[in-house]
Amino acid sequence: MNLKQFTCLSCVQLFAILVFIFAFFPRKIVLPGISHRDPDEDRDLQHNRPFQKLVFVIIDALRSDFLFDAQISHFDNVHQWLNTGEAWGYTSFANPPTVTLPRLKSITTGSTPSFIDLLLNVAQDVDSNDLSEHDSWLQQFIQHNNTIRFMGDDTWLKLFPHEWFDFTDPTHSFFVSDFTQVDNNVTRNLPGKLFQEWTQWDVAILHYLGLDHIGHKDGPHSKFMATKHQEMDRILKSIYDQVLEHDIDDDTLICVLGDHGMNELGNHGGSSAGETSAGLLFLSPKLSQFAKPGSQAKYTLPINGTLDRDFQYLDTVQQIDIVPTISALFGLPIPMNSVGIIIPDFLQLLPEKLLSIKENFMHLWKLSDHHDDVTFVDFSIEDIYKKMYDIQETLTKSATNYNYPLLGLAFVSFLIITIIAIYQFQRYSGPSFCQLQISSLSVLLVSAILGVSTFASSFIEEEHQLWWWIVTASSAVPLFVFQLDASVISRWFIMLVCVRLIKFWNNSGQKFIYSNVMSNLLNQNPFWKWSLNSLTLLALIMASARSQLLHFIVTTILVALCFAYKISWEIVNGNQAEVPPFMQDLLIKIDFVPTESSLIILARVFFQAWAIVVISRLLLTKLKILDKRYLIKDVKLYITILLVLQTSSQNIGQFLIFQILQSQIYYFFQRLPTSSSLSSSKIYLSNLVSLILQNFTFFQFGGTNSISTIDLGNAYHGVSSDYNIYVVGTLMSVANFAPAIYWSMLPWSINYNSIPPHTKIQTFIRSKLTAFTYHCIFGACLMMACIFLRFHLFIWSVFSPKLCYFFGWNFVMGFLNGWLPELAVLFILD
Amino acid sequence: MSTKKRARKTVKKTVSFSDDTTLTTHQNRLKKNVDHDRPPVYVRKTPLMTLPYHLIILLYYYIFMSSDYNTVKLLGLLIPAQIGYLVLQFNKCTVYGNKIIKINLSLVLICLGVTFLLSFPAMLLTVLFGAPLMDLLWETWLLSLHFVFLAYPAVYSVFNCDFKVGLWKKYFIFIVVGGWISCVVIPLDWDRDWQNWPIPIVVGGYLGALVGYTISAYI
Repeated sequence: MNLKQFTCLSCVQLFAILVFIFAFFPRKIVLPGISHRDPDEDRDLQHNRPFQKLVFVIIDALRSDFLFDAQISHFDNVHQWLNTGEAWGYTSFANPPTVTLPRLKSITTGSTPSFIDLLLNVAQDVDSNDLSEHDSWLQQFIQHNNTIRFMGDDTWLKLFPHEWFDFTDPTHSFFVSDFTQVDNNVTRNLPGKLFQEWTQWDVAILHYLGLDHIGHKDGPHSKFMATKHQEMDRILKSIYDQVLEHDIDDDTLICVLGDHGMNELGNHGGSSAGETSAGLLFLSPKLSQFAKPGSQAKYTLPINGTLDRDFQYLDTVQQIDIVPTISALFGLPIPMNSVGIIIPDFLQLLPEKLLSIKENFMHLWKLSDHHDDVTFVDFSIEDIYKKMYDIQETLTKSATNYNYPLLGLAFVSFLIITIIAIYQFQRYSGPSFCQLQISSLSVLLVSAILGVSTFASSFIEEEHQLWWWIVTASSAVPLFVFQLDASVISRWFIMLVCVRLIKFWNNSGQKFIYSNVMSNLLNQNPFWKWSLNSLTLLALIMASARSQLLHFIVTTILVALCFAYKISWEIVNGNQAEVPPFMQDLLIKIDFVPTESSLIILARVFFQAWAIVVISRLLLTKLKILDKRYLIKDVKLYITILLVLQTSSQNIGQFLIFQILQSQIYYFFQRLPTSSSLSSSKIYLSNLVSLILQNFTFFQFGGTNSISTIDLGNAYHGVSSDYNIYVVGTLMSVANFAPAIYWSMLPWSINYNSIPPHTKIQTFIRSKLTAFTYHCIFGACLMMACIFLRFHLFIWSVFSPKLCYFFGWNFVMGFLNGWLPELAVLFILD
Repeated sequence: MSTKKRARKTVKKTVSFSDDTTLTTHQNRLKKNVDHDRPPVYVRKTPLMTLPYHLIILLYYYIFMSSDYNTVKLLGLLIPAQIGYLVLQFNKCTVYGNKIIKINLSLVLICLGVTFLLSFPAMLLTVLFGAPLMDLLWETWLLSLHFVFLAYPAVYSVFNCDFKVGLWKKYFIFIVVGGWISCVVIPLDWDRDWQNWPIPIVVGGYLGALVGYTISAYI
């Protein structure tokens, strides 16, 4: 196989994955148009609507226990209102994916989200998000000539046209480390735009982001949580006071809800109980005149924990039930695609109770493809509700339609590529095709283990465990391969300690979350964290000292820039107290004042300097001005510095461990017998080790197979607010794959240092073939699992994200990172 | 499940066989060339005598009879059972040089102490192979105690025969491999009691030892 054929094969493989993904992710059938009612009836219902004004407050990631649990909640006023009956509280089930954009779509249109919405949440600029043509309760308010005012997360303005809003003050949601300003930006408008102009609006939408940011940064038990709860509670109180002041006949409804919850790490996106259980609260003086909802009457708020810690407080409703409830309370038609059911407790408020239920029922009846009319004579309200719940259940499940021919085509072509890859892989491995070499056999074995594991959702969620399992097995290998002398034993022990430390660094997966992990310990002891980080960077400089002087100087400059940036970033993002004072003094000494704008400049200076260094290094080597021998080592070091910049501060220390581990692995590879017949084996082995470590460290950097752990915090270095999506995408990929990129460079020195130039391309192909074969076998299994398990409960929350990650690994790691840097280095070495 | 854990394979062989002058069963046939400084050691292939029946019974007790997988109690039963097994099996089956050697009771006791001490390096290795680092230390220690006492007959043989003979290596390896394989069940989301640390690994170690003591003589 030559390079051209291999390139073709890789491209076809990527294309097949893309086609598969395209065919697999269903686009939901969304009914066009807007619900209408008979005008007379409509006028009647509008006239008699129980509430005139709506204040819709979304507190991002407001988990149910934040509102109701005695252990964690500080919403004191809310508890009081709940006890007097002025407020009605619920736990609302948020359908996964539990990220903001799909949730907002659900909350406004009443439909359940599809997986594709989750991806669109990351790539937010796609216009399929536009809901201006679709039906929602906002649309209905607009149709009935109500004025809407909006302040908060700008995701709303991506969904709804600006013209709908009488007043908007959007806040950008991506600066995750800002806890206070995002919320102050919302609250500052309350007195002027809401309270003083009380009569000039009908609907006010507030979307607070601060709580979500605290969760992402610090988790649900953060020390900032209590004050945030109190702040939110105060805001609710101030709005409620205005309601009491202005409304003689109590016709304002305040609706407070979380769009989703969070897990114990403070992330969201998946389908665990914490993420799907959001708090929901209706607040109005009018509510105290009616009977409290069933279980609320039994409890005194705040509640002391729930059984099994399942976050189910008070009554549980579907979050989409808000939609018909609001429609009914404001006399609006139910939005076209809503599959919600009016919350039964609110029936007592409705003037035409039966009419509303019938409307709700007929709506669901028609959505589930029934076209005949139903007579309600024999049904009691309970019966209708029972039937509605049944319909709702089927409707929320059946949101999928697969493109089977395309799916089959993609799968079959992927299978063919897999067979070609295995054939080529075997052909290179030994003298004859059938002769199995240990090296190629172990690659196939690892691929098969991982491939088979894709059929179990828990193994996908806990993939890091499998990699650790393989790491432990392969770390025992040196004991059997080498003569056990003191140096092998001690190096083996160091290696084991290194991988165990890496394992100790972060939590991964869903099942086991330890509080005692290195990243948490370091975050609690910032002094040690920064000492370790400085040590890591020093180690990088030390590594460069063995090479040429010029390289040493250049590395020192890059490392200094990187270090200054990391410290300043921490200071700008409000963690000034965490950075040891003497390090801050260093910044003062060089007259650098960290602000948001100077930070962007500093990052750009770093990137430019880095690019200049790497490019000139490559060019000068090609022109034979600099020594070839050090090239691989030096380029690896430059790339490592870039990776450090793109890594969160608590993970930087891992690179120190990586450096130590890497030198042990080199030692073992050097001691391998070097005969020419074994060269293919050695290439395969080194790439297998690299592949295992790539995956292992990817997960131990905190990565998982869930969309919620994609790190966006390091995607905006040097990027101003009018960002370019490709730049951010590249930075995001580097940040998330940083450890994997580091380990993908492991085989370079093993394979390219001591071989004649004419075999370099062949070596490259064999080298890439290892990971390629792995991805092919793994991918074929994953696709098969996705097809077989397409009606599995977790298909959207586990298998589909894994499919996206699989594409990410193939495209970013297999293709971009696997080809470009390595080929560049090879080209120079020729 | 309140207790969180990570699992992995466990006790590496706890004695270093730095010299690979291993004499295995293949060499037994060459009895004429007996080197008297380092006489060949082998375990006779008498399956009825070497089968560790007690491990089957203990496993049955642990899985089906003991309330909530009482690992401490199991250890209490394992130690006397292993001593009994050692006395029976060693006397019948261990050939050292040209003769079947008999058990040395004082060495049995010394080995008990040594095995107990070995549980600490075993624990270190368990942690290195992925046991929780800062939580569940008691459970991890219990696990390593189980592992070293599963290896106890082999430890004794090492002491009684010759440190340099690598024959016993495979007994240790089987136990470790058993523990390693059994980790697979831990990530599964079945939420069963027996998935708790360290129950699957204990069971795996027992199964590994069972297989090891049964077939090690043959390979």
